[in-house]
Amino acid sequence: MTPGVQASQTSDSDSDELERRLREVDALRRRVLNVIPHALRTPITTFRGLAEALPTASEDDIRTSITPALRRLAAQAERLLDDMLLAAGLTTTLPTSERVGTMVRPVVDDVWAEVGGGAPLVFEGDDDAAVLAPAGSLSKMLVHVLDNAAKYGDGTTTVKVVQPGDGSGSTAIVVDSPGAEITEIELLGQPFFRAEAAVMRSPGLGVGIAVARALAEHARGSLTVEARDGGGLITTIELEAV
Amino acid sequence: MTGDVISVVIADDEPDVRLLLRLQLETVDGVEVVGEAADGVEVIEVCRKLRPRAVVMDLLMPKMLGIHAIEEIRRDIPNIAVVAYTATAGEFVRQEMERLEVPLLLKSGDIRALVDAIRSSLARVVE
Repeated sequence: MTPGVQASQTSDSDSDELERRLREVDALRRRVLNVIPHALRTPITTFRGLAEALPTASEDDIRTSITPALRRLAAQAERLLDDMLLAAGLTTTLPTSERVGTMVRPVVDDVWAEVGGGAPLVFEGDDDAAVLAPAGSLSKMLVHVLDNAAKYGDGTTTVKVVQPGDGSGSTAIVVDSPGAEITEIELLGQPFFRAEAAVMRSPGLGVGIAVARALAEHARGSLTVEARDGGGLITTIELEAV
Repeated sequence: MTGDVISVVIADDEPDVRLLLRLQLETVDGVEVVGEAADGVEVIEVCRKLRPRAVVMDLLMPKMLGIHAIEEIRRDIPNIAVVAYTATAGEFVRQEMERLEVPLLLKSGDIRALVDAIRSSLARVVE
């Protein structure tokens, strides 16, 4: 091959790569523009409205309703910001503490009490199973995974704790959540992507899986998702066993 | 309740949004919040039971979308005024609201716009 032909092919290849990356950036921009206004409008406008209601509200409403709501909305906005940064690959919000042994069952129970909305959940496996993760990190991973199960699932969510027995020394936490059929499985986990079934059910940023995966990988583990036979999602978090 | 008072049901899956709307609507003369609902199924039940003159409806709610709940409620209470109150609305939602002749308001915290929309929707259904 002559040097001229080789240079031309390299240039074509660079151009294709640039075009592919530009398409990716454009797709990401569209996804961000689709989800951010929706996710932020409600907490921001509600916060403002409640603040404006303070002068005419009764002492009782301020103490028992408005103040707790303002705290919840501030925390919600803070979580949204953290999630956006983490999903965008800005890792400043990753935990900095060392990994510690964390029992799985109590974390699952606590998180489900927070996000489950009274729906049924079945826990299978060793009640004493524990994994290594930075303090509070497993809880944050499961908040995202179980929140998805609660919001988009239909029926009973099952959490199984499994020792793979492959000598890897890891423990798998498998969240099996029946629900609508998911056809865009390969796109799930991309930041700000929301499956069609999710868009029609509830507002959200589309960053839950990306955030949980970033936290799992930071804990030297992994997170994978697969479509469930009959509809729904199976999410597997694998972390080093204690 | 007198005929002049507009009884309103608020439907939104966010409890803080329901709290805000209740507080805001309570300050408006001639408007009374008579019930709340957290999902599309509950709002149908609450409207059947309380027979309000108006409902403020979030569109994205668990169990049943607001769009479907509106049609169900109107079968029971044809003269009910409905205002769609949502964070964002794409082309599909806008077209559906036009088809259903339901005023669509983006959540802005502006209570005057919401009350105006309730009153104009009410005026249309009693014509």
